[in-house]
Amino acid sequence: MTLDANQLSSPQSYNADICILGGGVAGIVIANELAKHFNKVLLLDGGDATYSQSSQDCYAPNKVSKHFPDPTYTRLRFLGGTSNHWLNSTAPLDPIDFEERDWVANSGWPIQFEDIAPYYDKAGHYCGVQNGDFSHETWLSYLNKEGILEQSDSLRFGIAKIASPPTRFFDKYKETLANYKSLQTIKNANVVDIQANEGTVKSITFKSFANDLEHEVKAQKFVMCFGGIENARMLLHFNQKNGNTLGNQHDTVGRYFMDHPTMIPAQIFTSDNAVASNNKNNGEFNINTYLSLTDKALRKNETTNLRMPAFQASNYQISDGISSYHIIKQGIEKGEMAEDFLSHLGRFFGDFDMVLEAFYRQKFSEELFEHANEMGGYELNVMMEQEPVRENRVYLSDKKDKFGIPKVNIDWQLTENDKARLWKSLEATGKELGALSMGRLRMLVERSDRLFGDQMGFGNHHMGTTRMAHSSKEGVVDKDLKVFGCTNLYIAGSSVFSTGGHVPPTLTIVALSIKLAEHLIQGHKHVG
Amino acid sequence: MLDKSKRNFIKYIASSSAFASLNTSALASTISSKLEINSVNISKLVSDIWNKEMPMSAYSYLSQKSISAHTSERRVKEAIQHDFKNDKTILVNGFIISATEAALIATIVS
Repeated sequence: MTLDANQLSSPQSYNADICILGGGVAGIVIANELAKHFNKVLLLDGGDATYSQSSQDCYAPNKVSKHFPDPTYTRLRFLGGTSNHWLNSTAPLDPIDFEERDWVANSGWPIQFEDIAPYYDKAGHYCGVQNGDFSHETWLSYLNKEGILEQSDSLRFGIAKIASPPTRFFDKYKETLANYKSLQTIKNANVVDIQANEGTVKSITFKSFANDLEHEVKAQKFVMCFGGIENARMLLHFNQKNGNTLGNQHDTVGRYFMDHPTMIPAQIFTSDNAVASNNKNNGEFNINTYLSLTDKALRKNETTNLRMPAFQASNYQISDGISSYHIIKQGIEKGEMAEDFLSHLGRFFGDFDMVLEAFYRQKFSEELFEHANEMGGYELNVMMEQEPVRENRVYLSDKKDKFGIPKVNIDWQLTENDKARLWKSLEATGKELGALSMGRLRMLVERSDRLFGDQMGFGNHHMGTTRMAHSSKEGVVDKDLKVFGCTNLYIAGSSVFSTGGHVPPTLTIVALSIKLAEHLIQGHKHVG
Repeated sequence: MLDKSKRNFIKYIASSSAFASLNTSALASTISSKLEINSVNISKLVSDIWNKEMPMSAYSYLSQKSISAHTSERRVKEAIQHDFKNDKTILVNGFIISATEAALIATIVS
């Protein structure tokens, strides 16, 4: 049953066994898992069943770091959450992602890959990609990639499965949810406050968009599923009047914020297409391959995880001249000479036909040279793991949204370590490609300023702000996703990731949500 | 669309006029005299990098590998792969190439 909080004309009070705060991917999965086992589950979402500007506006931040995308629209604030516009690219984290790695500060989860692996199968089903099978045995022969990197102990193909059309979680599961008598969904229910006493949350308060009435929910347990940034924002807000006793005893809430930076930092020149990223549809979903470093190579080179799908690129796309033109121009605009200026100048003139091609395409929407569209090589579209550092953080500003919740400031940057590791990984990749006679790799080091500047893209995968850890000194939730210092407050979503790997987080969000639901069910049975 | 044959002509035109299109003003004029960069010789470039980074001459390296003008293509290919496997590589304009490849290119200049 779905209730619209905008229709409530007097203050209401609800009671539930479990109250889930947020109806995105995590919230929907947990609601679906719990509704079969509890008498009363409440699922609250601040948005409606479809997009509304008044709801979306609540996501507007106060301030974000340069280059970091404005999170007002990179997320969606209505039932189904960001699954309403995701690409549905899924892959599990790698075992090494969970390990404490000496060379990656603050790495290491309090759980290991084996703890989450059993849940990937069901998570894959939820995400519309059949199951959790991402194995080489199943997919490399299907994609005609079998045996290509068999001899390599440095390079491997990774597998991604992408449901087509993408799974919109509320659209897909709304009927199932509506059929549970034990589950009530309340939309347009914006959580504004929490009432806690000695580490136990007694109730939460919510408001609708229609009026200023406050409604209360009392529950045995509460699960925050607001999202990667919002979980931190709301927990910081709750902590303001609870003396930082809710997981923030050591100023960790909002810190260790991570995303997946994306860029094209290298090209591969080869006479065959063995390195190319494949894409094949099996009638249900697309299967993609991408280049990646093996565990052994990651350890040997002491670098972080990354994926490197190689896409065919034309002479125009891989042109040095165009890039060098922009670098020279930027320097001139700043009144200074670009670093390695003469090399850029050489590239500009050496590749001037492509510069002219760019000019024609921009000014006249017309193509000039026929060879501009001929294949020139492969571009590596890298998505990289970011080291979790305390300085990257989500924190509250003095500005507030319409419900009185402080807007966030976001400090985010790529560290010099992150940048150095990217080059190290690419160097290892280039050496291995050479050793395998699969081509030559060119690192676009001379474009660093632009690659790590205005050309940097983002997965918009917001992670780490309420990270899982062994203790409150290093994180916000324990291995069961319970908030440190609380008896009955849990968090689900990518905010609990201790490190981010290189994979889009949704499959792991779902797996962790199923695991949390199982934990709550076990606790319920134990009490019962 | 123009075909490939006009590429060199375009480049020639470019070298004499294109820099002005960058709206460079004074800064540009001070360095435009250095446009000889157009004639950068890749072999010279590799040779310079080799001399800077490698402990022995390119000739010596090739001799050590028993590579000469008469060495078979297969044998050279094996030497290249061996270099890559053993981290004997050089970075040239961002390209990761084997020491054998670099030595072969560098020896052309001399």
